[in-house]
Order: sequence, then C-alpha cells, then structure tokens
Amino acid sequence: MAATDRPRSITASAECGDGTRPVRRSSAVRTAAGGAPGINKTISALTSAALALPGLASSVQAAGPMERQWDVGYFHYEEGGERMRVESLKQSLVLPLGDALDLTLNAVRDTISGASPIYNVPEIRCQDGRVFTAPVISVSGASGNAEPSGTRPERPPLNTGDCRLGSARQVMLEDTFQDVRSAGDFKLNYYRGDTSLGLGAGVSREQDYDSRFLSLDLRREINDKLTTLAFGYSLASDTFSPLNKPDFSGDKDAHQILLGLTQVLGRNDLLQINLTLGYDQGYLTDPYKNVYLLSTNAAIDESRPDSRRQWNLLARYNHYFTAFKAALHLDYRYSRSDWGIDAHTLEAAWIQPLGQGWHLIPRLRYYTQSEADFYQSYFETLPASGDYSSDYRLAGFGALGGGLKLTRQVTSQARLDLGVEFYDRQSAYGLQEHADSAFADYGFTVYSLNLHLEF
Amino acid sequence: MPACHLVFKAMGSPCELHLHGPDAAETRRVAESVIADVQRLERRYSRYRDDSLTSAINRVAAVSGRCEVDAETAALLDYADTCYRESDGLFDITSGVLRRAWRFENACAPEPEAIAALLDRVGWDRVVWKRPFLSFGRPGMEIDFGGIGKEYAADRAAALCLDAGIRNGLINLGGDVRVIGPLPDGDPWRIGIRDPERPETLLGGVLMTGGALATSGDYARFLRIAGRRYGHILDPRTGWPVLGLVSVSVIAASCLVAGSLSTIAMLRGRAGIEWLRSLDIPHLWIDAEGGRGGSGVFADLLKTPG
Repeated sequence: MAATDRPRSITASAECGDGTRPVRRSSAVRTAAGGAPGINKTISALTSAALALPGLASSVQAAGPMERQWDVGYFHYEEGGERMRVESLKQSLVLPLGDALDLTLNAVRDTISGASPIYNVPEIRCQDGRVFTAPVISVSGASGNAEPSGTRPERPPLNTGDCRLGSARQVMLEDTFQDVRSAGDFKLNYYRGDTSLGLGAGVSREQDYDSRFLSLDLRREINDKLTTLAFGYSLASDTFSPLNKPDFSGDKDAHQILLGLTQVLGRNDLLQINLTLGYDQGYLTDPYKNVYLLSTNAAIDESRPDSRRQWNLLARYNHYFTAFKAALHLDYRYSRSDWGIDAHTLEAAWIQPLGQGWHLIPRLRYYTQSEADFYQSYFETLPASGDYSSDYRLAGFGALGGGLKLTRQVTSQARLDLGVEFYDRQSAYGLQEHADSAFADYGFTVYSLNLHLEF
Repeated sequence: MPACHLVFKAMGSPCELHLHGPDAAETRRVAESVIADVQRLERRYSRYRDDSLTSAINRVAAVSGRCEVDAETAALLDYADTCYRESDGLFDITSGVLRRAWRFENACAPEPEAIAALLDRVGWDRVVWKRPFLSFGRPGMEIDFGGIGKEYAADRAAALCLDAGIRNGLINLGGDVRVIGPLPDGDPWRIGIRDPERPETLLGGVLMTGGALATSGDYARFLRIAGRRYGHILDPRTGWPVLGLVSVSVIAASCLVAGSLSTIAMLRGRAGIEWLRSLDIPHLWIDAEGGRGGSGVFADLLKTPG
C-alpha cells in the first residue's frame, strides 16, 4: 500500500517542502588534487579574506561546470510507535561536459513499510465508567478490517447525560505491505559568463503513484558577483491510481515559480531571500484517508478542494564567525495557502570545523502551522462546502526537530557524512489557534550515512 | 581554439599568459587588459616606486601618522591581518624594514644592535587598522605588500579572464601560477617545479586543471653564517632569517592562499613541515639539508626518480 503520509524526500523532512535550495554553490574551483578550500581553519580564514578582495569572489566562486563527483547515501527513516519505516538508497553523479555544461544524474530507491492513520474516532465515556469507541459502519478505504455491511453497530445514546464524547483516537491502516518507490532525474546546467541555465526532468514510480516533472532555472550574477538573481519554474504531473479504488485514477498538476535573491553582505555575511509561488490543480485528495461522521456512524472518503494556491517566503542569513572559524545558518520560512494553512519555520545550524578534516553540524528547527479551513478531527455532519478532511497533516500543530551531522574529509577526494535527525510533532507546540490534535502526536528519527567522492 | 601567448616583465619578474578563447582578437584584448591590470597593481603597490600608494602610506608611517585607504587597499590590509593572525604573528607586512640590516651581498651577519633597533619598528600589533583608517604606533615603521601583491595580481588576472569568458588559461607571474580550466582539448596543464639544488633543472611537473600553485623560498639568495644557510625570509620576532626550509610549494584554490600558506610554512622553519601536513593540501617542502617531502600530486613527483 502506498503510504502518502511519508515525506517524499527524507532529508527535507515532513512539512517544509518548498523546494528552495541555496543558489550559490560552494567553491567550484578545480585544483590538481581536487583541493577542498575551507576544510582547514587556516585555509578557510585565508580564503574568506581573499574572497573579499575586489573581483576575486568571482574567480574563486566562478560559475562553471561542477567537478566530477559521486555521492552514495543510505537513509533509515523510522516513526515512533511502530508506524512507517523507510529505507532509502540514493546516489548522485555529477559529470562535467566540456567547459560550459555539467550533468547531474540522481537515482533513489525507497522501501516503505508500516502503518499509517486513516481517520479518527471519538471515544464515548459514560458515567458508569464504560468507554466505547464509536463503532464504524463501513470503511471505504483500503483497510481489510472494515466491518461487514448489513448489521448496524450499537452505540450508546449520546447527550442523554450518561454518556458523552471524549477525545479522539486514530484508526490505523495496519500492515501496509511493502511498497517500493524508484525515482530518477537529470539536470543539465549550462554556464555562460555570469549566467547559468538549468534544465531538469525526472520520473518517480510507485505501485499506485506516478510522477513526472520538469524544471527550468536561470541564475544571473550581477554587482561584481555579490548579487545572484534566480528564477525557476517547475511542473510536476502526477497520476494517483489508488489500490482501494480499482477503476479510478486521479491526475494532478503542480506548478511552481521561484524568485530568488542572494546577496553577499561582506566577507562574513550572506543573505538570501526566495519567494515561491505554487499552484496545484486536480486530484489533491488522499484516497487512503477517511473522515468519521458522527451523525451516521460511518467513515467515508475525505474530499479536498481541487486546487491549491500557496506561497512561501524563505529568508536565510549566513554568518561566518572568524573567532570560532565556524558558520551560523539562520532560516526563517513563512508559508501561506488558500486552504487556510499558515506556517512558520525557524531553523538554525552551526557548522563547526574540528580540525583534521572533521566537521560537526548541529541543527535545530521549530515549526508551527494553523489548521486547514476544512479540517476537523471528526465531523458531526458533512459541511456544506463539500470539502472535509481529518488528515493529521492538515491539523494545527507544532513540531521540534533537530539533528547532528558529523563529517570527515578522509582524503582530499573522499568525505564521509554521518547524521541523525529527530522530529517531534505535538499539537500543544502549535502557536496558532487550533483544535487539539494530540491524538495524532508522533515523532520520527532519520539516520543517514553518505559517501562523497570527487574523482 | 585560437591561443594567445604573451610574455612580459612585471613586479620584477618574468611573467607569461597563455589564454585560449573562441575569438583570437577578443582573446588578445583580454590578455592586454590582464597585463594592464598587473601593471596597475605594480604601480599602486610597489615599494620601489616613489609614486606608489605603498610609498605614500610609508611616508605617513615614517612620522607615526594616520591615513585613510581605499576599498581595495583595505581588503589587502584585511587579508594581511588574517595572515598575521593565522601565522601567530610570523607573517607580518611591517617586517620589511628589517631588510635594511640584511644585505645579502655581504657575507656576514649584521650587528645585534642594528637588528634590535629595527625590531622596535616592526609589528603589525603596533599598527591600528580600523577600516578605512590605518595608523602607526611608532615612527619609522613601513609596510609592504611584497608577500601578497603578486599573488593578488594573479588571482585578479584569473578573475578578469573568467569574466571575459575565458575558460582555458594559465597565468604565471614570476612563479606564482594560476590555472583556469584545462587545456582546450581537456588535457591538464603541466607545470614544472624547479629543483632548488640545481636551479637550471626541473624536479618534475605537476598536472593542474584549476587552482593555483605558489612557491616561497629563494635558493638563489642566501647567506652562509657559521655553516648555516640563511634565506632572505626574515622572522619578525628575532629579526633573523628563518632556518630550516629552503623552498615550499603549495597548491590551493587561489594564488593568494597558496602563496600565504607557503610563506607561513617557510616562516615556521622545520615546524612548517608538520603544519603543512595538518593543512591536508598538496604541498612540497625542501629543507636546507636537501631533504624533501610532500603530499598530493607532489608525493607522486617525489616518487618518480630524476
């Protein structure tokens, strides 16, 4: 069973999928030994001072084809409470093609298993101490444990004074059988003077979900290369063929436009602002999610609007602390959609060289979102708008995340990265006003191992 | 692809440019603008020219005064300040005044009193550098950009070429080499390393497709005092030439960084060998006894006989 809950990209975890990447690559210089400036503290101090000299930033960070390199990584994603697990293998190959072109080839294979929530039912607590879970008439989801139709389950009468509704509980789609996602994409970059142009395309396949995407981006360095302007457009065209709906498939198109500005403020400071506008249209409903309807005691398919407009703002500030030879990265993101979800993300990372090729990178992140206009943990009756969902990802909540990455430059051509990342979602962490969704609180951990080779 | 090869003399050294570009006339124009920029920097920063900015600053320094400098000079002073801190005070752009005591034509050491008097006028820590103002803590001080200027000129030359769309080139300013991409056919540039013991022969060559190679040390100019060989690189703390190494070559992303690292290694004497190793970059050292070692492409070069 394809689990749409899991993050489509493990490294950009859960809800912050604005797809914004730093525009400015680190040094693209090729030296005889693939020398990596910035590894040693002395070298990084001298290099940053040298870059402050007039004109030199361009020569050392000249936009040009990337070096030949190969990355291979293994990721293990595991949710608490025996929920979803994902094993992921990724590889990425960068090949320079002559003076003005480079080609990047990425391939990913994810193996997914585990359980995911389908809907929430309220618990009914009676004065005599009995606790009922509201019995559900039928589940039109893919679950094999749906009640046989025909007999109407019993429920104690509500609002008579004896029994009343308590907190909700998640009903899980158990024993999700293993699904495999295979994805591949390429990106071709063309460099000419201060301008570079990128063209990318890719496919991703799962048992029930196919995605094809195309991207175009243009970057231009101006103002003695201290300013980089970026423009990007991407289109993803997806087809959902849910396993629980044999004769149905839904299509979705997602357009995204990115406008970016990166400004070098001095030899130790860099500011980046990205604005992303997204427009999704088509089948945006999750076919494996239900809502519980109290009036009829039934779980029925959720229904979402068939379009979504979204805009994201990313503000990023990097500062290099000469005294510590370390860098601080501060990110703030604001995202707003016409589904009513407003989200704020604050993230800080500290990049500390430890000497002898070691780097330690601690990272902390806080996220808060408001709930979607059509979200309720369960529904009394169906709302007139025709849009309703109990998907916990559309609830109001907050999350704390963090991680630690240790990297070691083993030789001038090889680097090993070891990372661990945690995530803790709590209804109570949310800052905006929202209905309690503590029943959906969960956390995950990601372990990662990556080998980077330049050859 | 049309090539432009020019040989010229600047900053007291033989220099050469090899540039390859799509258009012959345009490539030639780029080469000429590069040479013009090198000459501009020489006019600006040469301590041998009375009309240079360096000489103007030193006239202020002579009377312990204060002056305001432009952005380019400020960035060079910032760079010099970083070198001073990263070398624990060994790389000091005020140490040039010590040369007055050391005349390498004479085969004897100067009087200790002469050195002591000059040492009083040395020390970046006696200079107050608060961008854009530079003031000197005592009279008779001097600065010079000798250990930085040529390397900066090479990096700027590369920047000018890259800006003009040149993707294959080599810039050699008196042994400070900056490489832009490979040769047009994709082959790396082959850069010869001179043998300090036999300056007319090469130790071998290294292959480069980018980055910079700089060498510090001067095997041609040295003094032998009491059996010890002294080079012309002076320790700002003692006023004496440093002992131990006679030549250090370093490969780094920029010529400035390669040049400073090789000079700092020389200043550290034999301790420079371990320091170079800790940098984890391609380097080559040769000591006064003829011993040699290195890493990266240089390790391969040392392995090959001849």
